[in-house]
Amino acid sequence: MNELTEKAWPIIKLLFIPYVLLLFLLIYPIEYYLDAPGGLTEVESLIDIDYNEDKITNGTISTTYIVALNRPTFFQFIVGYFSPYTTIDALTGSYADYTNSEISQISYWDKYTSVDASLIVAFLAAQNDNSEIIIDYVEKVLVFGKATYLSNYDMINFGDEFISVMGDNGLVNSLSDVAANTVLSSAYDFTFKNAEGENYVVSLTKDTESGKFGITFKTAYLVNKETTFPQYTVSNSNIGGPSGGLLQTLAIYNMLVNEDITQGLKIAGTGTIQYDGSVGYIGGVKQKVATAYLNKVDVFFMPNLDDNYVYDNYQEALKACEELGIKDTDWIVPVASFQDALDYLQGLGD
Amino acid sequence: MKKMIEKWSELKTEFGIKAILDSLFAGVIYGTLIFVPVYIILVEIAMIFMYRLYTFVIIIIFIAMLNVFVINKLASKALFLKKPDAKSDIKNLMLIHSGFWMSIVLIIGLVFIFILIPILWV
Repeated sequence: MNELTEKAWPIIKLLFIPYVLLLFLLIYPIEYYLDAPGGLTEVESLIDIDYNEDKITNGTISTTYIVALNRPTFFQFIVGYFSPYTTIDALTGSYADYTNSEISQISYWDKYTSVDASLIVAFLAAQNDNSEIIIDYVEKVLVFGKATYLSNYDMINFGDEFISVMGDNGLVNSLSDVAANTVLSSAYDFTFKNAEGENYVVSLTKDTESGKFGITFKTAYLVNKETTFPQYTVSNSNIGGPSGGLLQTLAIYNMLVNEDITQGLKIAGTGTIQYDGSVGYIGGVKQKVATAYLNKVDVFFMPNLDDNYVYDNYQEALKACEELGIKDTDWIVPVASFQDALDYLQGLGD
Repeated sequence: MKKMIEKWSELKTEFGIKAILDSLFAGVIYGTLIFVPVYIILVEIAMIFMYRLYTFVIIIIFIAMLNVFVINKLASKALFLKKPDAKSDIKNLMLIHSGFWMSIVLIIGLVFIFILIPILWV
């Protein structure tokens, strides 16, 4: 060791400062976010329905993921800056207050609830033609946001279920009644249920400036697996977020019905799914269009709810195609609901 | 194989276990210091160009094999510096040694490409 160190010492001395500088560029995170193209994930690899096992599906239905780097390093910022496919911007809003681990947790719960929403919509749609199919679900109120001023911040986790609050006039179980029953005092005892199914009580104090507790809830419908038919399995996913909703719904529906709605095509797309079957907007449109283009998909569904809205996803997609030099845009199909997407695919088969 | 074992015992007699381990340690330390930034650069670029994931995994495998080669090269250099007039066939021994570890790296890389990435990337 000593002999080699002695021999290389002049080089070590010369390169020490540039080496440390290089490591700094490679490790130090900056308060930006970077979106880059990702890839396609076949829904079949995530969700498996124990039904229609002999059915042959000739095409594929995939969700589209992008790489969303919160707080990239200086080096990633520089590389991303020169890539035509990336979008870089300052990290703002509530995400700026969250750690990367918390953002991952939110992303996980977004994915989790979106899969259940897809199951509900697809099962209900398939139930119309097949009474054998049963879907059972329950309404739950989940923690989806925490402000920096939230008291007992670390005790409450994302995805924990709101059970009740001891309000001014007794126990309140409904979220809609919380505001009206937490007026007289500044602190109230909330009961939550954690991921392990254990209830815990935590005292939350209102912020003196905003007068709020600093917690955001989301009402979600979660599928009751035991009383649902056919049975299904959802694999653990490393890809988070709710934007796969529409395509998950299409793929699940395709697993439940006898016809092959894929028509032998490579189908991908994006868009959240609401419980009424309508599609919601998503972010990272440019990167998703680039991902689909690079993966040569045949059909790409994109939310289109209002042509006059400047951030309408379909309009954004057309702009992104122009920016990226993609001339043919016929493969991008605007949809406002699950039914729109289904009608389009069934129309191709006619 | 027999010849190789003979060569190793020759090396062991000439340098002693402590000196050989010290040289290998030097090779690992300096080889790692050289390659750590390269790995970080490749992983960070791969995160931005995820649609070329497999291309980057292949590049990383080759870089890891090069890393193994450099570690062994530095280890043999350290041994030569300890005894410039050494009679053992250090170069050949280290080449075989690096060949063995390079094949291990290649196998691990192939496991990543064909098994782990398709399973984990859902």
